[in-house]
Amino acid sequence: MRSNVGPLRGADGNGSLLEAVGLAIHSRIGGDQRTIVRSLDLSLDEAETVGIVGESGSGKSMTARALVGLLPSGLSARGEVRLDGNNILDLSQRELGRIRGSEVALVLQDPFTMLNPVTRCGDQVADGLVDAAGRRLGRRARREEASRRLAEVGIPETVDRYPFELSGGMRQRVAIAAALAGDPRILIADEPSTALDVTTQREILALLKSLQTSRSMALLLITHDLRVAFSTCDRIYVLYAGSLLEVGGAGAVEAEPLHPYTLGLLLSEPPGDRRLTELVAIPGSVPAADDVATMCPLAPRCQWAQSKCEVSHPPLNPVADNRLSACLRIDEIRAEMHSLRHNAERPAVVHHTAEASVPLVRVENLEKAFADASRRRGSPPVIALGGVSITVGVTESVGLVGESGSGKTTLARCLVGLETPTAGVITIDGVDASNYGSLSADQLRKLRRTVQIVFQDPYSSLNPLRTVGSALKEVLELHHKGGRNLEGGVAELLERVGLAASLSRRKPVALSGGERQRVAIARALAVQPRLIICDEPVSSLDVSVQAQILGLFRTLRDELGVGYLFITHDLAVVRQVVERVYVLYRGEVVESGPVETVLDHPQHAYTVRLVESVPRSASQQRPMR
Amino acid sequence: MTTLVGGPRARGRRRLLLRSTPLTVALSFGFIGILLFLAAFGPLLAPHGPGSLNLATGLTTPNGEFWFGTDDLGRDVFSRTIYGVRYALFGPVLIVVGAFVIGNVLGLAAGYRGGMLDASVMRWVDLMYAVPGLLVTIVLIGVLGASYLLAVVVLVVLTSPFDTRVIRGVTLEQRSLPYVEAARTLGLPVRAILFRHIFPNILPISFANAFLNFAFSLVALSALSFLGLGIGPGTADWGRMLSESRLLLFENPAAALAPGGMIVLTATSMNLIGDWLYDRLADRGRAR
Ligand SMILES: Nc1ncnc2c1ncn2[C@@H]1O[C@H](COP(=O)(O)OP(=O)(O)O)[C@@H](O)[C@H]1O
Ligand code: SF4
Ligand SMILES: [Mg+2]
Repeated sequence: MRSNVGPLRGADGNGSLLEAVGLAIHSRIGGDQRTIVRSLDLSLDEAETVGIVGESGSGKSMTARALVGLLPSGLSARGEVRLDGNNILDLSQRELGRIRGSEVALVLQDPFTMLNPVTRCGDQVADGLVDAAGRRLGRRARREEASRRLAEVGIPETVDRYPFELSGGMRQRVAIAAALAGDPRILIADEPSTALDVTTQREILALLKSLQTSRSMALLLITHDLRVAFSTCDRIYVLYAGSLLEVGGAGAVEAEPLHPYTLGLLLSEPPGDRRLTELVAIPGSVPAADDVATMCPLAPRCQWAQSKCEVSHPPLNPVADNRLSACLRIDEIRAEMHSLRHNAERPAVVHHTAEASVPLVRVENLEKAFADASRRRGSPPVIALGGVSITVGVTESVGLVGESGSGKTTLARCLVGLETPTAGVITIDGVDASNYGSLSADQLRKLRRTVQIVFQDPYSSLNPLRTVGSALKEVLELHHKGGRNLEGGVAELLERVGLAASLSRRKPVALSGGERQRVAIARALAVQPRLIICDEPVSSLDVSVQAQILGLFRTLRDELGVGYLFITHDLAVVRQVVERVYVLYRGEVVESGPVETVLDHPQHAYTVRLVESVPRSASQQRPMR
Repeated sequence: MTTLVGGPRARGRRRLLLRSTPLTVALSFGFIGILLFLAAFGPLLAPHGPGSLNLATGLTTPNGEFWFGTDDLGRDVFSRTIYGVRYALFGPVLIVVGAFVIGNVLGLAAGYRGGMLDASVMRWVDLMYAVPGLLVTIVLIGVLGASYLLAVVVLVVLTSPFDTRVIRGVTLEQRSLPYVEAARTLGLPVRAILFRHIFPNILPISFANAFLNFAFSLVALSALSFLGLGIGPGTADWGRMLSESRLLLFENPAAALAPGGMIVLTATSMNLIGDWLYDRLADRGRAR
């Protein structure tokens, strides 16, 4: 095992700063023990940026926490984590406390968990600081130092402000400054940008990268997004169900992944710069580590799996210069993987529905203001939509992009009557749908059968107490679809969305996120709508599952001729599904047009910023510095 | 099982100092089990009748024949305590069921419909929270004349605002969840959304609340009986027994301690069970 790590050191090669050998993490709840990480070797050199990439549940965060001795209770780590000749796993809490902050620091996804809400930002950053003689700094010196530190992360003006007064991105900056207060040699960042807006995400990543360079520290970046890892890291570890599947230099892995899982992940993340002919997805979902303990963890989902893949757990082996892969068959299938990727990345031609297509939905000057409940009475209302006009043609797919808070969801909710607009007109298939409350039963039924909606969170989209079958049957019955044979109707709907008919007896709790989202789509399809509004339908799903669901949307479109109003903050995603796109910014449409035109030649400053925020790998763009 | 209900504890619930631990909850369930058994078969087990006077015996302390001794009329305290179980369960159950129905209907309607309906219901709830409940009851019964039925009715009116507020809160929470919004966009009738979708999801909360209500109702009814405003004199009701034996505290302490202890134990058990249900639901909401 040890020897595998050797050849993979960073360029300077003088021993690693931090090194994990045979790190295993287990959880124990009640009597049963579960494997979180099986056995992992990892090294981090001076001034190096290393990425751990994996889908949710693969064990990334727990690995990060084990490296700094911060595992939550109930979890335990075995093996070795070497830092300065110590094994972190053997240290007492006191000794760990000394190392944390000054040697290793951690930045988490949600900055609120790291910041004290009642302490000013300046104090958060400068509290633990001491002068050269080890004395605590005086008040003046502390304030000066705090300003300097906050200036380093780009927000000097926040010294006297409280965390809750800041935006998410600024808060994350404060958290980073606080983590760096003890001038650590290693910074571990666990999904530092995931909870933020797309445009802010890029800024935070760029900031981390520039701090890493200017301070020559080592950065361990944990992310579920391969594109982010490629654009930020020198080396990459791919983690799956608690096992490392591939290790290698970022550029080399991107140029040619040497494990089917890495290839699958890469193809699952749609490129931002073109539409693909076919969306390749890894079928199924991530298994529990213990369920795949005696085989290749990917075997149940791998198209190249053979019987030999299912008899033992393949070790990480050197397969090329500075490359490790845990695929037993990599030599045999390398060429095939290469051509699969080549074919999958061919751009597709977007077929535009004729311009003259009849409008199905027409929104004119729609306005929506919310009374601001959080503030005092009489304060001005929050303007969520400030006069938006859009149209969606029959069978057309239209995208609505913009950062969170731009009003996308509000527009969607107005369209289906979950909110009532303050002003403006909505016409759906000839019916005035501006105020659902004033419609006749007939008109309502007509609208319900024309437009349906799929929500973002698959976990709360289904009633937890009712089986999939009864949820679908209820809708079929209500709208007299599916004829007398309701069971058959349910089976047909499930088949449409790629689920087995036997799933109809399950309750949502027994379904994965992807399966739940498929059921939610099936439920919308039950009324045979002409337009489905999809509000961020894939953004809470794992990358590999996201690709499956996007593929499903495309298939349904081809087979049923249903149109979409596709709401997302992810430009790469929207490009795969729609022909036309509207860019929403602060409740107003700032740009619209054919999807390639808008994304390739953005005109409005905001669209330019949005397009630039899509992480691109080193081959498409120079690293951000 | 995933339950979407949970979140912050509803305000206005009555809490007990005792924490519910696995042991105390198990003991509570055991105790309530015994009570149910006694309610069903008590009369077959009780050695004496509830009202059988034994003036010759008069007041005695606990002994072989009268385990808890007798009161001044020579009635067997042990037997009367067993007979009292039926009264102890019957009244509170009526109140709990009444408040459950009113609270759920009003809470669901107000939480789901919002607007004027919600505003008026909540105004009523706030009003009921503001009045000193037991005092009003005492005055009311004092004016209208002591009657068990009246006591029950007044207590239904007094407790249902608690249920209403809790149910309205969780209904509001459910209403904004995508599964309910999906049902609305699919065009399901309000009736179906309320009773087929929301109600089953909040049922566990209503249920937990019912246990807490039970404890409150038992204590309130017993207090009314104690004051002579509830059930008629001579009945083997714990509150009544307590009031009639309080002067015997030095001659036969058991005559007062037995019914008093039973009231405390029953109320505590119900409270602990209700508390435990609440906590379990809150935990479930978080687990996914
Ligand atoms: N029910 C509500 N009450 C008050 N403000 C709201 C409400 N819903 C949305 N908003 C506000 O409206 C704006 C637009 O939000 P939303 O439509 O959710 O944007 P998006 O979907 O693009 O993230 C935001 O400022 C948000 O805070
Ligand atoms: S070892 Fe087999 S199952 Fe695993 S990735 Fe390689 S070919 Fe697929
Ligand atoms: Mg949104």
